[in-house]
Amino acid sequence: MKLYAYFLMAYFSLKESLTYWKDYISFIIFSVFRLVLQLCAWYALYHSVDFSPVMGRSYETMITYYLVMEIVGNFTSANGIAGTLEQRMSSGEIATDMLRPAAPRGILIARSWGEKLYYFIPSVLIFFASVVVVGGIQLPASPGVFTAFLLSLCLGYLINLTFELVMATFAFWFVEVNTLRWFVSFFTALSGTAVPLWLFPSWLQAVCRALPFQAAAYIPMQIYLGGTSPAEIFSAFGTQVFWIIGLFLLQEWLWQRGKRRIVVLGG
Amino acid sequence: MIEVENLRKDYLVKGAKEGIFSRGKQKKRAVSDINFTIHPGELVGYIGPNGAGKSTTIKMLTGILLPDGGTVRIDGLDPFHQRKQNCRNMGVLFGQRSQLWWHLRLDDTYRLLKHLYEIPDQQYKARLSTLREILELDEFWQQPVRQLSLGQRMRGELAAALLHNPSYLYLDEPTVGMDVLVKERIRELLGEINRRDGVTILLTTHDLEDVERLCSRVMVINHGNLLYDGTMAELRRRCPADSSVTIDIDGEPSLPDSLRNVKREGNRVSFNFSRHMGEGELLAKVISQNHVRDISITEPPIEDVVRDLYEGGEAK
Repeated sequence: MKLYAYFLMAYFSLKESLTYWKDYISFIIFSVFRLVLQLCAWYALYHSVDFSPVMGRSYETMITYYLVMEIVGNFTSANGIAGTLEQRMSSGEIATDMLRPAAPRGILIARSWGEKLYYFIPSVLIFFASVVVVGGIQLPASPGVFTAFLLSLCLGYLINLTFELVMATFAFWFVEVNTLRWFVSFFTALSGTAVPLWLFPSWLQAVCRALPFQAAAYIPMQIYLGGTSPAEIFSAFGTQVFWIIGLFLLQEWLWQRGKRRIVVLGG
Repeated sequence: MIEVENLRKDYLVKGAKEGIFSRGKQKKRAVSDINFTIHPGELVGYIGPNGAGKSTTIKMLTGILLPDGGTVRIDGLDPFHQRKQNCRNMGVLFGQRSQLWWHLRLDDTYRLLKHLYEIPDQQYKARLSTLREILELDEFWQQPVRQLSLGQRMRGELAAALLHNPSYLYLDEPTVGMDVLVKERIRELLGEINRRDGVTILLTTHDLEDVERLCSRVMVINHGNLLYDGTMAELRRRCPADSSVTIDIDGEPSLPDSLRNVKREGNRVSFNFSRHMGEGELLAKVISQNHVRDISITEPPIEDVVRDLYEGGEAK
């Protein structure tokens, strides 16, 4: 079965990534370190003065936000697809993808799943370990809310995926996508993965709402934390689906134009 | 059948940087209106110097690049717009690029290809065991690809290209960087694949021995122009490069004055001779005027023949 071939590619790319296990260990240590620093900073802030009125949320909520975001951010991320395409274009390896009776984008996505799993597995472990260390986090208000959170998480991944594919198509026009990547890393600050968006001034929040980034990670997070009515949840889904369709059409349009420009470098 | 008509491909080459803004782009024609037809079961050599347009042609035949003009049809399919369909019936090997998973074992790649090409179980097993046998893959079957020698890896690559039993095989410099023995082995294998399964093979190479040993037909390209398309023997005949003749003569030799590059060593005389310049009669004269005991004619090395052709193409 053809679909199985894509699973195999994901599995092989995970297996290949694991060859570099020393990289892996330093990545895990770095992740733990980053999380501990964030938690310490919030702990210090909240315990020096009563910070809740300023922040609008309690210390517990803040800790929950960061820990759950560890999962949400990693799950919804589709990072690396544009970079992989760029690298395969500049090394000429793209040619070998085009020789297969398969969709080149399918191959890219399947490979990215392998890498995704590579990063996601430790983030789940770190999450559970941290929950034990801090002595528990807030849970979703009901199984219904939890289900909505999971669904929204999947939609969030699709937003990032379609956005990443839009980015990837730029590789057809500029063989170097690196500059673009810097540009995008600026926007990740507006996605809610680093700082909760409720801390932003209202004009910046308005800017964020007009961009797809917050719909990927911040919307699922808000659903998790609760306080959203069923109507609000449905409208949040609507926003997510809107971005998915829009970005999907955009990347399809760009891809059809871009693939004519493929140049295979290196002989 | 591969049908190529008026095929053209241009590349944009960035010109030298003049100032900050003006960076002119130049069009470089990589393949210029070439035409050829390859029939099923042929083994065709495609040669030319670096940058002549060989690889570009292959990339258009395999559907990686979109031609800027002309058409390619492979069994009636357009390789770019009907890429997936065309892929099912072709195998490709780029000598400078691996299609195997670097850190995994060979059979991992093959298992993936089985599913990508949707090869039925039985057919896959039969095909794999045949390829394992003729390509002698067993000795390194268990090793990750990164640990294989170039010759071993290339055998693995060939198996990957042939696993789905394609009718067309495109080889872009399959023997690059190999030692003489391994080259010889790869040539044997290619010949066998062509004879056994009737696979149509198009082979680009810099090693003219590949072509001499394997190909019934050769195409020469330079600066994007197809300079020659025909048999190897005809190519030799056409070229002005000299053959050298050595004769052993009894008694005092009597030689026409118009002989070129004459060397004498006792009873042995050697001189240069070119069919191209109508020197056949001259040779006949030498033979009739002397008591010739032995004669040997050495064809010009094929490199000379092709060099003449390349240089001729440049002058055009």
